[in-house]
Amino acid sequence: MKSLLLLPPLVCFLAAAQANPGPARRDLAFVSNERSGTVSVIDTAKDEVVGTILTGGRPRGIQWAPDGSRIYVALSDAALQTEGADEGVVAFDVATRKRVARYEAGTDPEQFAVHPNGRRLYISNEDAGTASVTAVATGKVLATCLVGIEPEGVAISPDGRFVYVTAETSNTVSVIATATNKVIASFLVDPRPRAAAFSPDGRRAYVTAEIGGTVAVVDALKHRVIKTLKLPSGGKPVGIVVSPDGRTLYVADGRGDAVLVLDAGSGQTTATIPVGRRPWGLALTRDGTKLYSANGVSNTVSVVDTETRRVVRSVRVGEGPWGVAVR
Amino acid sequence: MGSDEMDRTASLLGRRFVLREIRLAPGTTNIPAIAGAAARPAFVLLDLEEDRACRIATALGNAPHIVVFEATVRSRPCPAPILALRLPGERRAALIQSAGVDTGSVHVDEWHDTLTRFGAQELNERYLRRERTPMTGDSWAGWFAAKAATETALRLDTVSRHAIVALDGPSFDGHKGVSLRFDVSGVLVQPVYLIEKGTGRGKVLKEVS
Repeated sequence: MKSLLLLPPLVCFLAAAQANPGPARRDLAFVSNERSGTVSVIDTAKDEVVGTILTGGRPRGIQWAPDGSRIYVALSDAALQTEGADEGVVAFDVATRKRVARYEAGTDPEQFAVHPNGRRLYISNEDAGTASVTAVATGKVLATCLVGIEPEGVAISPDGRFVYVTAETSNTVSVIATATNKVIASFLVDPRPRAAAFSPDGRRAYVTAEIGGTVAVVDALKHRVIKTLKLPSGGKPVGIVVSPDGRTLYVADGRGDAVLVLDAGSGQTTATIPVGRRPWGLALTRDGTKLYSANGVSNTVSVVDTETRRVVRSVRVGEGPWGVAVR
Repeated sequence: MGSDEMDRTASLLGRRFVLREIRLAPGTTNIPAIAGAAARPAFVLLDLEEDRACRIATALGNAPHIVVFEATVRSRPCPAPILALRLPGERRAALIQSAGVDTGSVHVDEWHDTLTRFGAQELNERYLRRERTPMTGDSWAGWFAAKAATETALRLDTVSRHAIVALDGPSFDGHKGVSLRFDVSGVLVQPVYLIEKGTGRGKVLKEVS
């Protein structure tokens, strides 16, 4: 018989922050390949692989630095759930493709977000059930926030004010206010939330629930679910991105081997685009004309013309492509 | 582990539940005392063999905010509002039969500590780290009971059996890759695993449902 403890208040433990790395902008897609321990570099003008970075370990979450100078990769030990010396979020210089920094991220780091000012990383720590706030300049952990059970997806609002952290087991989304690095709200979504994405105006957020087969539409100012979009039968949504005009959602239906296109206004699924097998990470070009899906089982990246909604190219990458970041 | 994880979930959402797990020694039959103890808590989880679970559940009746989970095999109907997390015995036998294997060499279980897909690896590792013993079908059922009860309470503000079983009721994630629901008779519909008996904890041959 057990009476349970009330947890400590939703507070993160603070310190300070600073600094910003240098410039450079390229039209490149970086693809993390979790089974080969590499990152493939695709020239988005030709949609051809123009380089491969050896990361070692198991690279998954991947994000650009806002100024385009670096690419960040979440790296865990290749043996599942085993802490390794190389675990963390690692930074590669885009120009030289050399590793230039490593940031602590607990065991088995998977996803993270970069603040629009480039100064902070927000990293979900799956085993610890926390999200850490790390200073890019110093590598110092500025705050550790208690979030849901088995945190996974991390997304930051375009204005950098809020970070959403999904948690797979508790089916929650925790909201971190970046001004204070405190959790200011948590809310429930459908079973197994995976990824979150904000609309460009920051008024809405969208959260995929893989087992629920839904996408939650969230009022991102009040942090409340306002609508739940049921996907076509059997849909198992994982990655999600929002078009630059905010009107269209692209959702990776991992087990359906497809990308679903949803009208953000009506919530209707307007197209199903067959891509490679097991798409997970998605990314759009800055103008929104091309969508890239990392297809984990077929070892390809599908390039989708968003106007015709057709795959225009399938690019062979490393083994187990997981995440993709384009700019 | 389930009760702690779900208490943490409730706390995140600004709620607090008291979850009582009643484990009685074999032969204990003090049903009035159990019913009295269960007068106030939000949930009662029963992990008993069939007859006592049914008798206790009957004594508890349909008290508001009480849901009774049975973690043992249910082989015959119980009129009380029991929710069964483990497959009835005849269903297990049928699954083994249909697998076309030597019935003496395999058994069916709801979980195995070597499962890795659909978040099973993470759950197994978390359980092992915390409890220092591998997660079994029994421990998975206990974890899932707490999860299902808490989620129902958080989503619907009730933990009645009716709410959980209702067609428009919630679906659950048991780290098995599919949405889990209870059928109208209160039995959880779920994939289970055909396990080859052998040394140690055996080996998963395949998923069956």
